[in-house]
Amino acid sequence: MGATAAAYPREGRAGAAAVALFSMGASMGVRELQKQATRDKVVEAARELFESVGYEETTIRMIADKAGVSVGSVFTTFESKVDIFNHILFEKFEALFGELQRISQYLRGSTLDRIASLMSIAYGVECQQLELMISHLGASHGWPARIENESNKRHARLLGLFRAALEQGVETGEIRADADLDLFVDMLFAVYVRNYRKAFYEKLSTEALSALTERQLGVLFAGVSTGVAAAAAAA
Amino acid sequence: MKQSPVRLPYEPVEAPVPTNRRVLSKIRTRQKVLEAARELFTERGYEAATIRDIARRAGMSTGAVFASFQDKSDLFEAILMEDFERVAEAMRAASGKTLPVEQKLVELFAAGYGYYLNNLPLLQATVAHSWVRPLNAELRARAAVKGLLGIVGDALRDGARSGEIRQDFDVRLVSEMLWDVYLANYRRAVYDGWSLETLRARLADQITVLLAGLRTR
Repeated sequence: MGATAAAYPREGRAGAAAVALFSMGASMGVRELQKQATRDKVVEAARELFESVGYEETTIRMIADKAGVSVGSVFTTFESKVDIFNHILFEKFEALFGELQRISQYLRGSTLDRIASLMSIAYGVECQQLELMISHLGASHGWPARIENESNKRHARLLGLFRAALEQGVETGEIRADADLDLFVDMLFAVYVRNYRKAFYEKLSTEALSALTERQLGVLFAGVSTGVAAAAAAA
Repeated sequence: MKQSPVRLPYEPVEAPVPTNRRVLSKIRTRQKVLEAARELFTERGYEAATIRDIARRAGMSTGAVFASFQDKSDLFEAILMEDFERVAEAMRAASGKTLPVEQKLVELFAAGYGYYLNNLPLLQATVAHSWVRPLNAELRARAAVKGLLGIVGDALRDGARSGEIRQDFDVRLVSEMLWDVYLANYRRAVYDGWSLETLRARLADQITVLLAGLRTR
């Protein structure tokens, strides 16, 4: 917990700073607030660079220059470049996940339709920052295990939404009860993620991406559907 | 027919020898650079391996490296293509076997896993680099992957021909999905230490699901 708080002083820190302001004197609070301001500047500069230049090519010095702070200041707010990226991904994910979670309760139709809608919404959001997504996917192949761990936790929450939709499908008799949902969800995710590459290199619109996803889901769902899938979807 | 003896050393019989030797030594230099680069990319990843280090490992000057390759990315691409060729060979060998379509696909992809599991750090560098390489390099790499996807597609078509799976499905779509899933599993090898057997078993389950919807029965 202590290490996490030090590496990612987020909202909690701002709250702590406010408390410190009253209990320990104003100077402490000011320092905390300054640190928070530096942090925000660093994050914003890094986000722009990762998007325009790419993750690999961006250096801490470039981030510091763009943020108008010293290299040392960057390192007092984040341990390393990958930690800055991880923080950006954390914020980006929270926003997307909140949106998907909110919408998922209103989704209707077959299991395939509901999952296609979730993916389509995600594509719509992520494709607005497609370069950042491509940087993310590139960086994800070389980052340390601790970042992979955090990334996996985020993905598990996203996959939880897919899984909930599938479980509902099992209940309505649309999806086979003996289907291995963990395996299936993993496959959904593999296909979902690789499509960003297609979107980027083949310049697919979000509509084209959604259409492709529906065809892919059609193939995947044929493998776990019971015979009554079509009837359930029509109902 | 009468020839001056003075001209003899310059007759065509003699001429190709130095040329051949030069060509051979150029090929040998190139090979040495590739080997050294392969080692360094494996040890350090793409970004951290420099041309200077590669030249030193190969026992030559950086100039000699640049005589064979334009730049680091050109060199890396040459290694990547070598790998693709070897994997394609292994996959083709697997797909030549007479097997039910599902097993054939497992064998084919397992050949890929078998190759790259011994070269995991290089694979990681390859995949990471694949997201940042310039567009024309990306197009060349895509052509190579297309060749591999073709082997997968052929296996699917064989299955359709033998009546194991339907005839009316989108071969390219399914090949690419198999490829997506195959690639995604590498993460487990890198971060969770999955063995060849574990990868293979997982992939077999995934292929079963993917083909289930295409079965004729």
